Amino acid sequence: MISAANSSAQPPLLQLEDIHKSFGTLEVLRGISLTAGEGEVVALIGSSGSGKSTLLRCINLLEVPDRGRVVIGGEAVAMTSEGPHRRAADEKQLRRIRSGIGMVFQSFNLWSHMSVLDNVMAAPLQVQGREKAEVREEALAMLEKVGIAQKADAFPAQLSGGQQQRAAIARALCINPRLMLFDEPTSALDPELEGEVLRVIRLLAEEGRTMVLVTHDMEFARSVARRAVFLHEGLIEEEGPVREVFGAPRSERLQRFLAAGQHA
Amino acid sequence: MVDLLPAWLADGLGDEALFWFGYLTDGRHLAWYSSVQFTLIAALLGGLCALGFGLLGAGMVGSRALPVRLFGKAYVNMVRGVPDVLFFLFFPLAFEQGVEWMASSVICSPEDIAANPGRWPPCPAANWILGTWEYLLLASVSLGIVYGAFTANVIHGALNAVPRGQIEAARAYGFSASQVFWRIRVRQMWIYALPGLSNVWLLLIKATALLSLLQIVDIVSWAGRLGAPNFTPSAGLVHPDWRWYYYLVLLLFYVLLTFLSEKGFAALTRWAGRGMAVAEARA
Ligand SMILES: Nc1ncnc2c1ncn2[C@@H]1O[C@H](COP(=O)(O)OP(=O)(O)OP(=O)(O)O)[C@@H](O)[C@H]1O
Ligand SMILES: [Mg+2]
Repeated sequence: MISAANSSAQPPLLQLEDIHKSFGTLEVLRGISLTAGEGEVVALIGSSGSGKSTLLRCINLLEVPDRGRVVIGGEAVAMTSEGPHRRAADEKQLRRIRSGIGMVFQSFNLWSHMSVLDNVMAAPLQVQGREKAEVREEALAMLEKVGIAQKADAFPAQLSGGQQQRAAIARALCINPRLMLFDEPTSALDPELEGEVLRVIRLLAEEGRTMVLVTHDMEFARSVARRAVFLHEGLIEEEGPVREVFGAPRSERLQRFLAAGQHA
Repeated sequence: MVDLLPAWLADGLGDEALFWFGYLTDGRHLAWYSSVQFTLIAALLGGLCALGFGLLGAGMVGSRALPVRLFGKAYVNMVRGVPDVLFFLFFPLAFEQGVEWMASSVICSPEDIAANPGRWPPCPAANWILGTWEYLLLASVSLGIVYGAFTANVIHGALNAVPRGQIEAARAYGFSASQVFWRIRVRQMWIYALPGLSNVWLLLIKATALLSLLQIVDIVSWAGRLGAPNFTPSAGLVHPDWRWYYYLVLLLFYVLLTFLSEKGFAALTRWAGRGMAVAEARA
């Protein structure tokens, strides 16, 4: 009943304002603004090199934007003055914000010296400082949820790619993230392993989690996301509800991009 | 020692065997055996120091602050080129005189110093007399500094071999810079560092044969003394120049140390390689 009042009072969970990023002379992001509301799934699409990964990495400051603001849950991430040497200004704030964002990488990036269970428990214990017994229970529940509870004591190298990526998703879930970032989570997987990972992500979307998802899989983006954002050469070329972006693309570039995808 | 043998054994051995048993267990030989402790302590302590300096040096070489980085690079690149014998002679003396100089500025009165122009130490009260243990400590630190430079080089390379993605993941989850360094990079670098570290360790073990340069009566000096032609008033010439026998024993001792070290490093490698794809690929 009060949700309508709430949603108008609450700022969107994620706001990017006028994000610019260059690597040397290569201007990768040229002024991008984007928001994601609570519970919203946003798909980032675009051709290779259009800046999707860079934009995603700007959200948790793995890349520091040269210009622009990152606002998470109404709180702007403090950064030093604009320019190529910009960094986070408040280490503590950065760590706190990061510990609320679960990131899933294309190449899994599980810590190879830890068992799967330890991977999932590491950030809650060492960053969030939570209690071990409680974290352990939750970690096991998360592994159960992604369907690899029986692999809890294995090392990442002993798992298939699909299992590793599901472990990485469990690691992201166990920090109780308010925002999840996925960077092409199935691109490193054999086609027959993609399905098991996509199923898990779909489940998370249905739970109403807020997610930003970079993907090459248009079919999946269309079915799981609410909104799609098409990047082209560091700018947003088109964005809107998935039905419109995929069903009735206005820009010619997007039309060509989608048509090319169909043949591939 | 001979009188410690049980009677039945002493009878069974016969006179000649008993003589040699007595010879090998006389006071000087026992001192030789116990001087092995200096070698082992210098190796272990020196190894620990080298590891400490190595981590520190690698941390400095990888630092983002330019002065720190330059200092680290100077250490790694210059000290690696210094002959260990020379540094072994230089450092303990320099350290001793440095301490004496500092002490003299506190202890010595100006009159004292004026009374003994050109003397070292400036006044007798500032004289620091080093015993075996002090020299051993200084020797270990010298070993640590010299081999720490090699260690730093090995560790620096190994730290950089840790997959970037895993470091990035740790940062993305809010680990602090020091947590990323210790819990991810240092924890994972061993599998890349151990082959190089085992080389440095063997070089360091070999350098413990230099202890006698620092007036430590170690296994090498004892071997020289015991092997020299030996007369006793009662038995006459016990043996002529036997030094090569004694040095042969030392050679075998170092071979044994090397063998044990290899075993130790194999065990460390198994530990460090748990779960690591590198180790699986190597196995
Ligand atoms: N750290 C970096 N240093 C230099 N150039 C970089 C760096 N990261 C990305 N780039 C460049 O920025 C451009 C955009 O890269 P980005 O990874 O964001 O593209 P993308 O849209 O994710 O592409 P893909 O679909 O291939 O993953 C590319 O030209 C890339 O080479
Ligand atoms: Mg990318």
